[in-house]
Amino acid sequence: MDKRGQTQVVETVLLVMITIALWTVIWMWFYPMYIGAIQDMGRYLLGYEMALKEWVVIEYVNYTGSTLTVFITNTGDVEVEIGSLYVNDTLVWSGVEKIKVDEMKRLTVSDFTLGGEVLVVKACSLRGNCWEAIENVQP
Amino acid sequence: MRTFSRRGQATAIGGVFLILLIVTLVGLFIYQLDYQHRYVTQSLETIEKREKMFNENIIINENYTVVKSYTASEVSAEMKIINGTLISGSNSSLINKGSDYIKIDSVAIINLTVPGGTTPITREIIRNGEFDEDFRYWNRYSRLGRWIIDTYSGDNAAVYYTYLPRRQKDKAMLSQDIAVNASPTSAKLSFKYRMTWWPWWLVPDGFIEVWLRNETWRSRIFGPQRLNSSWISPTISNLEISRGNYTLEFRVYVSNPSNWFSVSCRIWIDKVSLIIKYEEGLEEYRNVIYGVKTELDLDLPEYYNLSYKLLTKTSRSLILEVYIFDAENNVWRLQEKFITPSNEWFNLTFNSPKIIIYSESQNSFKVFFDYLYVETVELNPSKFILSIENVGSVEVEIVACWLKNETISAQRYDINREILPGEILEIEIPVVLTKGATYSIRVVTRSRVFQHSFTP
Repeated sequence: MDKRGQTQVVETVLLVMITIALWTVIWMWFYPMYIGAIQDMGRYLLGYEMALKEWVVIEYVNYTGSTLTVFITNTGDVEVEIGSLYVNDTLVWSGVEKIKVDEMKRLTVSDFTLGGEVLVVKACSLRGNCWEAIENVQP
Repeated sequence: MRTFSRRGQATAIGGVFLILLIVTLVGLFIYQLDYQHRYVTQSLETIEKREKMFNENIIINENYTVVKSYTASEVSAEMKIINGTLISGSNSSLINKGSDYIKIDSVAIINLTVPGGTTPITREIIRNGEFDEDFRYWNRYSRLGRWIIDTYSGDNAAVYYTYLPRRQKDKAMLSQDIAVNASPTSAKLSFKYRMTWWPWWLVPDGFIEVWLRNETWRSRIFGPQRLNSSWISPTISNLEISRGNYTLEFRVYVSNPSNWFSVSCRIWIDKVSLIIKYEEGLEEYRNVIYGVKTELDLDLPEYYNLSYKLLTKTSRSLILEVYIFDAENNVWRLQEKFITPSNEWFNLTFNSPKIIIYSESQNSFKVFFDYLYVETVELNPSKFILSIENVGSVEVEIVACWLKNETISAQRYDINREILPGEILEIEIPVVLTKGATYSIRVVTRSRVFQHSFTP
């Protein structure tokens, strides 16, 4: 009678332990996958949000002695990395120019040949945003 | 019994397992929901912010002028007297108010004399010579017959009607008192007359005479002439008559030569006219116009607008004219003309640096100039004011502005100011502008660039 009771307790404890162990095994397999997915989604949303918060203004374009200077001010809410510069849809500069919030930077294009007086200047960020300005540039 | 016990244990364990699973899934679901909610909210806020920026609208203006005032000496005011006599004062009198003034006496600028002369006058002396007003102005005398008005060919005439028995005589007179108020150089009397009778075969003897007389003298100027049935129109030219009162008399005499028969007569007189000619003297006409003519020249710097006041007084009320110099056509152009008050100070306001003040009167007068106050609107020599008005529906944050023209390189000025809808932001730009040059301004907001150009 006593042995049977002990056996039942041991069985129950054993079953609980097995259940917990199984659960732990499942959790250890599921949780990293889940966290990874959440983080991927977070990164994607963060990138999207950062891109939305980007904004620059092309304040002024100057052309002097075959040098084209583009004055860009970051008026957005996040730091912008300008990756390329187009003039009349032609890539004239590429690289990485970080512009902090409320900072103005000048991008210089050397040996630029002026094709016409009216230029369509487009600056694109590494996050994929582009801003355009139409400038009447005097040679 | 044993089987029943194990089934219960399994149920309990399964239940625990299920509860743990449900709790975990619900927790994860809530966590993910919260995560996404935060990002979506932030994204919407950013999009909303950008949308507001596209509703930005501003108006850019500039004020590059400054109002400056000058005294007479600062603008080298020079008062030249063209017509008039300077009694006291000089150009420096225009500097201060009240202490000293320029006093100019008028001179005769027009002295007009029209000599007297004579003009020939022709005048009719006889009144009612056509007898259209019955016998008005005429005096009648008769013995046997009577004077009546009768018509011939629709025209009135004076008619003496008389009935003469055999060997009977009659006479009558028609006269008018006339007044000659001038000394005639010539006088001409004209009239017409005739006689009609019945029976036709018995011709009466009739005569007519015309007399002119006054109180002391009388003269027969016509006749005696026999009357007959046809109209006779005599004209007595060169009638000698002088100034005075006269009586012109028509005397008619008629008689019946028959010893057996009676005769009735009508003696007609009409169109009596006495025209005199005389010279009327004209008096000599004299007129003197007094005037003062002064020219005021100012030496001013370049300006956009000019306004100045000259404190002036005239000793009597007169007509005052202001002429401004039209350099393009090289003429003086009348700008204002008005009547001045008598002996009271008043301000003359001008907007030309070169003027003529001309005043005239039929009486001698004096003109006083006391104080000259000059105000100009000029190009600001040190800066200009950039005015940005937010005419959009959202607040605008101005980041910076750029200024450029053909000669200067673009200059950037940090602003970093936020203006509410309807608000105007004024910024002093410390740049010396060049008159006539075109400047380009661009105002950078957080979302775009506004451009504007102006030529001071």
